[in-house]
Amino acid sequence: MQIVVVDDNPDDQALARLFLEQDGFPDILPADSAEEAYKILQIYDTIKPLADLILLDISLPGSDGIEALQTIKSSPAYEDIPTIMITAHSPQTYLARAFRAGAMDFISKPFNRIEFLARVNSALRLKREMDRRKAHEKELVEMTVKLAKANEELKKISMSDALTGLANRRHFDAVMDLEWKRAGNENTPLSVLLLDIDYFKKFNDTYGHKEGDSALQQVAGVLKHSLNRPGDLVARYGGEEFIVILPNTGYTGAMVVARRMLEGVRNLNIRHSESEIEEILTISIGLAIMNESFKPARDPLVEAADQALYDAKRSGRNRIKVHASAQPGKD
Amino acid sequence: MADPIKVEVPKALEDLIPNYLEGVRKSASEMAEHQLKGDYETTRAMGHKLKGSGGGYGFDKISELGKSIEDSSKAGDGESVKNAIAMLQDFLQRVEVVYVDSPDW
Repeated sequence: MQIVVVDDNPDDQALARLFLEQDGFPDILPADSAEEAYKILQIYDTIKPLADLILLDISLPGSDGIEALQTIKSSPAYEDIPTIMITAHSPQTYLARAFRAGAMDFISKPFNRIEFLARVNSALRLKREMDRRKAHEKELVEMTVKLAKANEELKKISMSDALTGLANRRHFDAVMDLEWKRAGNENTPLSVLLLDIDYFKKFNDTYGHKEGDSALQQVAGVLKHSLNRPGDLVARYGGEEFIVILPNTGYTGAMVVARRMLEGVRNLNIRHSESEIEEILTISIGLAIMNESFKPARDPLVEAADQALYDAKRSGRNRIKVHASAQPGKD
Repeated sequence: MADPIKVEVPKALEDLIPNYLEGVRKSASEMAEHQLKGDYETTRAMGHKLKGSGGGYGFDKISELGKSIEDSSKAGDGESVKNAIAMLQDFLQRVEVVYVDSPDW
């Protein structure tokens, strides 16, 4: 515990030092003027307080002790450092001003050892309590930040597919609900693409699950990079099935995205010797659009995309098929 | 020589007392000079200091006379200042310090 005693009377300094040292406070810094106190406390330079308690005489040469108190308290480092005023004047004369300026207590001169130490110890107890509370508050803030980060991480994990890093089915469901409602309320088109990797079972059987996983990751990468707008979402829907939500997008826009995905996967040039249509990995895409003339409920919209996907498969795969309700010109 | 005035002071202060009393003696003669020159602002300030320190060292009389010097100086009452300084000097000549064990130290 570091205690700064500001008093220009060496006799009072000596007595204060004796009282404090004998009571177990060896770290005492004496100052005989306000200026010296500012220097010792480094009030203009330090962020961390260099004293735990300040004893400040009200009468100092060339300066009023209360003005000195105000100056010390204006330094953020000393805002909460307890300061006890020392006075040989009648307390009524100065104390109201001293307390207003931030003093926490006063000690009268001539010193009475018992009173002197009681007031010093009480101020230091308060300081320790404040320090403990501040440390506790800091810890709480740190824990809250950590918890928020952990929650954020958990949320991310719970909303994403571990293998591909895309949104998972749960995330898709939440976004789909939202976008379906929004499209209905705002009367804007909403496109849904359902995609499936062609002959993926054969791919896995031929190259093994490790290669299968790698292919899923590469396809996921292409799908993700085919989307440019923040509101668009691609999710892993099932084993080798993916689903895309394109808010405020009609036939033309949806077809641009679907073609980009179809071509993107082909351009990966992943060898697939057992595919019955090509030597490389391909996908099939079904597109359904909710618009002015087709306003299905949320699930039937997905079902319509599924029907279109089925149609694409039946028609030879590696292609895009559009649900009957969403043909060109019906943007 | 007048009778000594015995003052009991806690043993814990023993190391500080000679120096303290020496300082008070010096102050008393300086105050006497300032009083002769009519410099009551200086006698007031010095009296104030003695008032603040005396009792802490166990010398209530010094605090009491310090207060008299301070008050009389404020009032510009040269005669009273002079008397109080004389009483202080008399006290300093007669004081005999007895160091005692103090149970609360």
